[in-house]
Amino acid sequence: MSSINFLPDDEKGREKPEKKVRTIEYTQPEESVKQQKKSSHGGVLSIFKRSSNDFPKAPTMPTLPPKPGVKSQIQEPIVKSHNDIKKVESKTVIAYQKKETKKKDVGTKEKKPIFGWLTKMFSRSAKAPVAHPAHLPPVPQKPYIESRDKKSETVQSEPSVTRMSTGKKDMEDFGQKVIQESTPKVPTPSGLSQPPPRFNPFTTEPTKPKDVAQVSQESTKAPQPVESAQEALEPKEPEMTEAQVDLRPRALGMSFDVNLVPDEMVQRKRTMSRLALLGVVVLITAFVCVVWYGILAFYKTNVSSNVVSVQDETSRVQQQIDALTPVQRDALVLQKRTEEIQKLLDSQIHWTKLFGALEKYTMKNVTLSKVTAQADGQVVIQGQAPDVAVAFEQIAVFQSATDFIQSLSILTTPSIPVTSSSNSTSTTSSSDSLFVFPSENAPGETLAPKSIFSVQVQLVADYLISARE
Amino acid sequence: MNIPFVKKNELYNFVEKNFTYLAVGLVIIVIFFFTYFLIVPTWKEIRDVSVLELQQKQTRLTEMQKFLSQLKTMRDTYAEIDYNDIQRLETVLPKGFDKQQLFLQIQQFAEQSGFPATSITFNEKLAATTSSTSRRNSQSAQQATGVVAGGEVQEVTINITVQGVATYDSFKQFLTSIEGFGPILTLSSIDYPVSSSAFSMSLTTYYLSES
Repeated sequence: MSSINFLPDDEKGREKPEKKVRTIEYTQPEESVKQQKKSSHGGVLSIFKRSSNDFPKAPTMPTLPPKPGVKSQIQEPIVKSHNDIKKVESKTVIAYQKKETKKKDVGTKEKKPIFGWLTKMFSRSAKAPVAHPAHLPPVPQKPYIESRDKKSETVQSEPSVTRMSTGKKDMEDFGQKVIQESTPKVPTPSGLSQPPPRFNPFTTEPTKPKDVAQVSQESTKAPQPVESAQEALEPKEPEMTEAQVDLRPRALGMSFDVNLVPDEMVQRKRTMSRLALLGVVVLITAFVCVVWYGILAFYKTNVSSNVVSVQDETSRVQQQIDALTPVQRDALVLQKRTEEIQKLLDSQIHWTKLFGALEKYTMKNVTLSKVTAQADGQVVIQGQAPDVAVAFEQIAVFQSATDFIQSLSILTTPSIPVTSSSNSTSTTSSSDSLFVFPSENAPGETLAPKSIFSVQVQLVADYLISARE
Repeated sequence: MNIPFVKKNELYNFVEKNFTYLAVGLVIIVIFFFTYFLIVPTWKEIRDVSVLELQQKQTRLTEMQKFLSQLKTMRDTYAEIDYNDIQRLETVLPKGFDKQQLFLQIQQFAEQSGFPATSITFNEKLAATTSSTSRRNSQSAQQATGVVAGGEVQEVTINITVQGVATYDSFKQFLTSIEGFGPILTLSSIDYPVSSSAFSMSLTTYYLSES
């Protein structure tokens, strides 16, 4: 069961029980409709009847025999509230139907120039049906009334408070038109007409507003049978008014894609969805940034932990170094001492080496009386020879000793030998000793004449320092 | 959800028309906010403090580990040296100047050589044997290891007079004894023969300073 609420949002739930009048509306038999159209209601009353031109030709649809025992949904009642009907405005009709309604209005203005506004006012009241509450029990099927004399097609369940409205009548007219165009016009033999076939909106033949006017005129003059069911099934966009939109789905049990939500509400809903999408985007971005920050924080924590571990390792290594520090100090002192000892030994003067060289290069008959040596290698040598020739020969030997004497200079040339007494302080020659001290000579011994000489030699560099012989 | 300000149609239209720009703008704002207030400070802290500190400490640790390995090698090498050799080296070049010890050593040396000493005097002065290059190397080594391996070599001049150097042979024996003495002794000059039996000479010995 479809229920459509045309009330604006503000009017929801604002029902006034004392004024609410519910009317159960029934469809009208085909014959009664024809008679009603043919009957003349002149005067003022005719304005309360909707002209057949107001409604476009209903789309035809194939008629199927109703299943036995199944109630047709065309007889579904519509419960309306008059108070609610007055509050409905034409703007509540969905957008895609407005265009067609305008076309229809253009076509119908020419038909009703005088009381069109009044009829339209009433038709407006009929276009806003009240949705039948889902929780209410379905209205029983309306019986078809055969009598043509009855002007009133509605049966009032509560005669004191209900009445038939023109909008309801329009709805009935629309239903009758649908039946007339979809089925051949065969007079009903019995008093009760057959229930109208189920309306299928998707197989209806759409008509243009102009066609609708023509069809409506033709239908008022003389009903013509439908040429074929295939033509009725052709997909033509139906020309629908606001009242038709209201009538169609509920009367025929269709499920239309009718969006009755106000544009403001739709836009608001869309805006809210967009805002929600914005929120999701922001949350996703924030989540990505938080994940990024978390990665950095994790990296920072990792670096900090590495710093701590390196510090621990450093302290452990430092402890080991401290434990080895005494050994290190001793080793370094020993190394230093060794190096210094090596240097000192390399600079050590070996005087025995000098005296060994002198013993080597001194002739047997020559005696050295005095040797004065310095650390820089300067040596002054005084000697005695038996004669002058031997003295010069000894000097020549020193000069030729280049392995330890670098240069030689004669300080005192050999002199002619002179006999000297035993108490003189001069040295005497000795065969077994290089140096002869005065005390070694015997007292009163006559010494042989000697030739005295003196030379200054410069030793080879580092001769006294070098340890090799 | 009823938000009062959302009910305005202007806001509806604005959101509808500028949804893409709003989304991009909000994303940029959020990214900027997180980047400027959270990510960039954290990254700077990591880069300037944590990573730099870690690198310094790792470098320090590497140096210390290398120095520790050198110390272990030095310890092993030092353990292989005979202790008697170490003591002999300490005798040859003692650490610090001990006058009494040196006096006793000279006196004992003279008696053992057969030339008793009649007088011994000391004159302490800095040694000139260590070159400037070796001194700089020693200082750089001390700075590298952080351990003072001993001071400079200093020398002490000893004026000694001995008796018994009467013959040439005894004179040569005395010179040989000086060259083989424990503390290094250097005879700077010789004037032979001497005029008397007492032989006066000037010797130089060396030691390592305490500093």
